[in-house]
Amino acid sequence: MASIAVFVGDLNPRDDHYYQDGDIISAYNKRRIENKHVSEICHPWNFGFNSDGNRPDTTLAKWVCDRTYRSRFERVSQHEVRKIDLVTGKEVGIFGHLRKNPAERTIYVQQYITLGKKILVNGEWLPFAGHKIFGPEGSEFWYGGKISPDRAKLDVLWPEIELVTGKMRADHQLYPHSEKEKKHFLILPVDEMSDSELMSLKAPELGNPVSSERLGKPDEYHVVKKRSKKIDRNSLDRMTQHTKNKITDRSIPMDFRVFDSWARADIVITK
Amino acid sequence: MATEIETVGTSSRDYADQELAEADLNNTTYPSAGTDVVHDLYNDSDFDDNVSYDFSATNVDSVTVKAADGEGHNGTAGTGVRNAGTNNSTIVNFEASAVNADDRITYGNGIEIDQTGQGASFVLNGDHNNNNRLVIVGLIIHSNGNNSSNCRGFSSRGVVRYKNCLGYDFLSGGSSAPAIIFESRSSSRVEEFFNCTADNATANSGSGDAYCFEHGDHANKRLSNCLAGIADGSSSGDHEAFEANTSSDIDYCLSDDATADGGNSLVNKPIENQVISVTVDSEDYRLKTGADAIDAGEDLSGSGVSDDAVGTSRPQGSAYDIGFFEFISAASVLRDHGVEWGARRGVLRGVG
Repeated sequence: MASIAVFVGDLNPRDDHYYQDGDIISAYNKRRIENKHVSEICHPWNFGFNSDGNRPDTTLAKWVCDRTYRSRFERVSQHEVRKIDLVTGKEVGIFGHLRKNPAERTIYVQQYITLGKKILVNGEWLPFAGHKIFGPEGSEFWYGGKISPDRAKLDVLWPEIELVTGKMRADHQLYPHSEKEKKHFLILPVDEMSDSELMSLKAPELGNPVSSERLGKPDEYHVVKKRSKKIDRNSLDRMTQHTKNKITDRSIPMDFRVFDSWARADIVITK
Repeated sequence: MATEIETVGTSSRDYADQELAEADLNNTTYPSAGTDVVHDLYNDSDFDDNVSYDFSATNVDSVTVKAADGEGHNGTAGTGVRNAGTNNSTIVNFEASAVNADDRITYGNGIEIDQTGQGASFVLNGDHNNNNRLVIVGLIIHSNGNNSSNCRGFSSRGVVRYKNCLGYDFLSGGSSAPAIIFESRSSSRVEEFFNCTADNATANSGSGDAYCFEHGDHANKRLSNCLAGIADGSSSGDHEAFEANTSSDIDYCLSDDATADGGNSLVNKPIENQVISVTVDSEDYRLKTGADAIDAGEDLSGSGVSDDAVGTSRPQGSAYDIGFFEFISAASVLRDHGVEWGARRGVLRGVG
């Protein structure tokens, strides 16, 4: 369910450098919401380690990485790695610091893997539990070039997520706001929006271009208002006066996603 | 001075959205006047936010945005708190105010901004045109450009100090657009670049320039202990690791080409001989054994640099290293620490 998070302030307008009551702070469409959930569910840190201290190669994390990164690197020897282009599925080459590939830059494979699993703490190398190396020792592999899933990719990912984890896509259609966010902001369901519409909702208002101090640099655009779009929370329909009075109480969650969505065209105001 | 720590991650934290966490600073009653606010970011999931911090943010005395303890990167991408670009727009913006207070905003420490597939004109934009010094520390920005757009990484028109930052893989390919990893857009304000690393700025269109460090060539610019790799491309513009210099204070730097200025700088030192990996999508810009950058820097403790991007104190050898990462011999990695995990990430997560 698409939604917006609205600033709740006092009704006396302040300087435009500040957020004002009703400003749309952020917006969430289906892609953004589902990506947040997928990223959390499939986080490699959730899947533990194998006996070599690497990420297990049989997990959902690995399956998702294969579909959301543009490159996979597979160790083929002590000093060499095979690079796979995951977009085309083709091998780019086998190389390292001893065997160079004219299309690729240098990697010291032994150091990359060894130190990739380490972190310096107070001048000492210690195992690093946040590392990204998968597989058995000697045949390690890892990923690079992560691309945030678009809607089509999310359609590919969710069936596997549901199968492996039992977490259903239909149960992950709300942005996972914290309790504090629900209390401090007004969360309103709205009709679905495109990515460009989402950006427009939370954009600041920029002033006229000003020449840069430095010759040849692009013109500068100063923010004249923190947000260009707002809603008038006191004119929202389907809310009782009692509810409207409670909105400013920062101890009470104001999450209206149990209601039907409002149409953005009906409630969004350009300031 | 009271310190308020707010956690940012997903629903179990104080905030799930950095934009809401920042907006809450604007409230007239919260936090209390005179507070120092810390936003501790957790690697619960990827962030995809576009945040704008205003120096005049209500009552607070300062704002520090960093990865929470144990949640930050280890110097490489994909290992800690990550903000993924999704909309070809600026990821972090800093705005102006009338309040003069140095170091009121500190941003970075352990945070990665990953622009893979995206092309923001300014990934990090210091839009403050006053004399508040912004501090950017321990931040990684990479993979911006998508071959079609303007392409700037760390870019500011205000007073700023960059320290222990890393930027790489900036590719521009449209309308003579430049590819600039560290950029100065001011001629009148002090900008400092300390122990930063930049590599692979590529401009492929028209007269577009490619720079690892475009410092503005002015006496109020200082670059020290910076490591610059490749600046290249098929454009007819300038391709320089360090912008040609007549006035900036540059020394103790290292460049892949001949552009690192200063009597103590090192030039024509290939970056592939300095760091562990420059392979695209598998980069590791931590110094390798035998790097020329080791112990080749100057003491910057008087300028607020006493450690590196992952908190290792400097110097470890006879002098500061050049670049964002202080080298320590890897000999000790062969020690078996059993289940003693690094303190930066003390929790071993089980199967989800």
